[in-house]
Amino acid sequence: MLSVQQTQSGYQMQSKESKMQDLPKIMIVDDDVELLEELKEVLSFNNYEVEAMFNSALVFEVACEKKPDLIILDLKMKNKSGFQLADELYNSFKTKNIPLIAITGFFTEKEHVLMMKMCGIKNIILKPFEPESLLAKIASVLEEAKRNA
Amino acid sequence: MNVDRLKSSSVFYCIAIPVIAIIYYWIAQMSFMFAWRHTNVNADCPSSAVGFIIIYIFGQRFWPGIWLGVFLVNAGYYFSNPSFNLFQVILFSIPIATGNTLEAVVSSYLLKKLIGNRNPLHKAQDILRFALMLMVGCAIGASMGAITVCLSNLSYWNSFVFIWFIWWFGNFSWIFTLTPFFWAIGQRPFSKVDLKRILEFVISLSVLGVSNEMVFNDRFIISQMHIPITYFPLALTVWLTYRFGYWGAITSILLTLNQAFQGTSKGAGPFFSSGDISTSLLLLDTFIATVCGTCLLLAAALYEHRQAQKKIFLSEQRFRALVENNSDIILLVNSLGVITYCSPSVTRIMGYRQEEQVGHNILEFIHSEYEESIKIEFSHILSHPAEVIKTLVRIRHKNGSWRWVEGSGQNLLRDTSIGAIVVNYRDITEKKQVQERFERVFESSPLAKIIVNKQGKIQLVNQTAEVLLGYPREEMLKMSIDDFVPERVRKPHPAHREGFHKSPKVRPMGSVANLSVLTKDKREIPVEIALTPIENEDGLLVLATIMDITERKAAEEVLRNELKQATRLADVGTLAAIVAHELRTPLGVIQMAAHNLKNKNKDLAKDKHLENIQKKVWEGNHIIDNLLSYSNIKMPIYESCPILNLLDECISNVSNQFQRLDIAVDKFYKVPQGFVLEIDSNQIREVIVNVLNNAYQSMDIKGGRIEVLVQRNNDEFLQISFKDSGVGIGTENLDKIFRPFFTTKAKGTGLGLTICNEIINLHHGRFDIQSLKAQGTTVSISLPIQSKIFKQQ
Repeated sequence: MLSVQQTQSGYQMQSKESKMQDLPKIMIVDDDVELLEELKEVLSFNNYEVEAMFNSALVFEVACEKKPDLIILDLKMKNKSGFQLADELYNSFKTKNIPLIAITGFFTEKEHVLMMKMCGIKNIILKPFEPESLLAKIASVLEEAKRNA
Repeated sequence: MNVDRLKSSSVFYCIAIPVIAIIYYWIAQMSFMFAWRHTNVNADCPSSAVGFIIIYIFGQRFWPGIWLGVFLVNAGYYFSNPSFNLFQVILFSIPIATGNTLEAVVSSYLLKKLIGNRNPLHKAQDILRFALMLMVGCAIGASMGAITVCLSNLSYWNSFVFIWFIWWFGNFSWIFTLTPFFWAIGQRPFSKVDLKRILEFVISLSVLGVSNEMVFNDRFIISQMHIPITYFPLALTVWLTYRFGYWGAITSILLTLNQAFQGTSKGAGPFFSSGDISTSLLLLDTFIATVCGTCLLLAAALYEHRQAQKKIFLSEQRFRALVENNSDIILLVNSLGVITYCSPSVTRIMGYRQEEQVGHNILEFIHSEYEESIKIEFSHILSHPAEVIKTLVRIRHKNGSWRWVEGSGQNLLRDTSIGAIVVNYRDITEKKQVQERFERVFESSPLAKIIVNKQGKIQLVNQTAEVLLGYPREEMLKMSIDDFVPERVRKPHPAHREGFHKSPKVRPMGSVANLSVLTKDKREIPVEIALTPIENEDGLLVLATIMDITERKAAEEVLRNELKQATRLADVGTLAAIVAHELRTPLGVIQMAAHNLKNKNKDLAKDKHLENIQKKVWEGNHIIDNLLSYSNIKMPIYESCPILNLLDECISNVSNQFQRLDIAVDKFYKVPQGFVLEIDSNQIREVIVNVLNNAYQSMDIKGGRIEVLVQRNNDEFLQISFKDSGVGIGTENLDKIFRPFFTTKAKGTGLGLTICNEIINLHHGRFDIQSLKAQGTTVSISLPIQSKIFKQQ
């Protein structure tokens, strides 16, 4: 079951299943707590270890520490936008190779190109998404990452 | 140093006085040496002439020289007489000197007073005046001289009158005879060196000399034959005067004078009376003076005549030059209309030689169109002497072209110096062409043009102005420009006009904003006005060019509305995008929550509810999609598009999707294949596809049909109608169909027709739906054939 722990670095949510070491580790970042909760449930149910981040400002540190296999982030967030975050991650050698999936409600062609160029965001999921299509996307991205590594 | 300053310098004066005295004295001594030494009275006659000449020519200030000269001569004369002592010599010489000097001074003063500075030889009257003034002057000299002589006991008082007369007449005749010679000096005897004339002059003078010898010196054989030839020299002198003017007169007189004096003093000739030499010389003097007077008068009269002739000649030449070089042609026409004279300018202007016109009737050259009017005018001229009649006709040029001429005629048949009808005319073809061109440009201008004088009165208007202001031309020509100014601003308008007249300069269109004119039906039309000053013979006129900007104002209004609509669309679009984005996030979460619940649910009865949630989330998403596409409607980007091709393309695309329904599409295209509309083809494609989709979807059974009709509605619109045989729309729904989110379909957002309507509206077209339940629906799209936007451009 989900438990929300108050830690020094903010809220962290962990599930019991995430302790299994061989499962792929996915970090999800969104400032919408309900979305975070439901998305974590979807992913956990499909056998992923999930690190859910509510405060985007802390993502970079945690990512360096936990080294997730994939980060899913919302582009529009309160503290630090998805673009900034992606840029930060892409430009640090520790996190450079972590693949990113961006979730967005509405974006324009211009924004898309900017993302591609600057932040290394190669994958986009449009809101609202069918859980199945997200899972399929995750699987394909992880597969590709594994191949490249 | 020039002559005038030399004359007026005192050094010259001091030298001149004794020189004059010496000259005077010397000439008098010369006279004594001549034969007439016997007489005492005539002695200083030639020198008194010199005195007069000097005073007359050089001025009265030289009188002391004369006085000194006379004094010396007389002093010498008295001194040679031993009966006078020195005191007496001086005593008697002084009055004679004074008298002779006064004689010269008074007569030259009087003459100058009468005739000024002109040469006395040039006018017969002046010769007469000269003689009269001399008579007056000489009377003074003669009186003083005769009194002195008698007082000095040189003569007796009983001979005073005789002495006085001899003195007076001697001085008079000598001055009268010799002075003209000095006046003639400086005037050329011949106008040009002409050998023939010089020869004639020399021969004539020689003949005169010979005849003088015969007459006065009794020379040659003929004089001894007692033939009376005394007056022969007179005839010769007159002849010389006639031929050579005053030069002829003067030379012949001087020659005669010389010979006659020599002869007479020797005792020869007709004037010698035995005994008294004084009487003989007096007779001779009389003769010479008479001849001299006659010839000088004749010479002066001839001179005057020649001057007058020269003047006439010059003025005639000037007049001729004027006539020949005039751009007017002058005709003299007799009472029958036949040309009797034609000025030479006709060759230059009309191409005819003078003789080609003279003798012909004027009607031969005038265009037949004007024949009648010319005949009437001609008879008017004949019956109204001296009245000037003006006319405008066409005359044939020698080269066959017809020239416009402006002419005037005046009946001067009664004027004896002319005795004809005088016709003046000038070629104004070019002027008329320029004028016509101006009138054409003025008249056909698409802008209203009005010409106004200084008082604001309308002089000329064109047709556009008539149409714009609504008044007929004749009425406008009686009106003032102020009448067209709207009443609320009419009062200050005359002052504005006067201000413009004070400093007239071109005022271009648009320099004053918000102008309007008042039409006959009291409408105010927004206009722009340009003002141009025009200078002509009637003074300053002003050309007002008026441009009706009603349409432009309307176009501006349309553009403003477009802009408003675009802004509204943009606002709606932005709002919709924000709302859609914001809605999508919670919808996504709901979807995931339902998904998760379904995964965890073991109760199949609850599954149905979860599925409902998922379904409605999907529908909500669809609504958001439509909303976004509605908000995405942009202003059309117009391009030329062959509308039938677009229609075919859409029909084939849509019918492919609905192949299974087996629906026939019948096309009725009533415009040519390449018919082009100015539209945004992407937007119109969307509309057509949407309408076709609706039509297909309305068919509930197989084998339905759709008719597509394309036709011109009128000149303005192209109508595309789609008639289906579907279920139709009930009347209760028909007026709601364009409302956003209205739909009767199970699946559908209700935004399709709203978007279509919006697009067609943006194209300035019309979107109509006619439908009856169960009888099918007809959708008509009317699009403007000429885009409104294009019209404005």
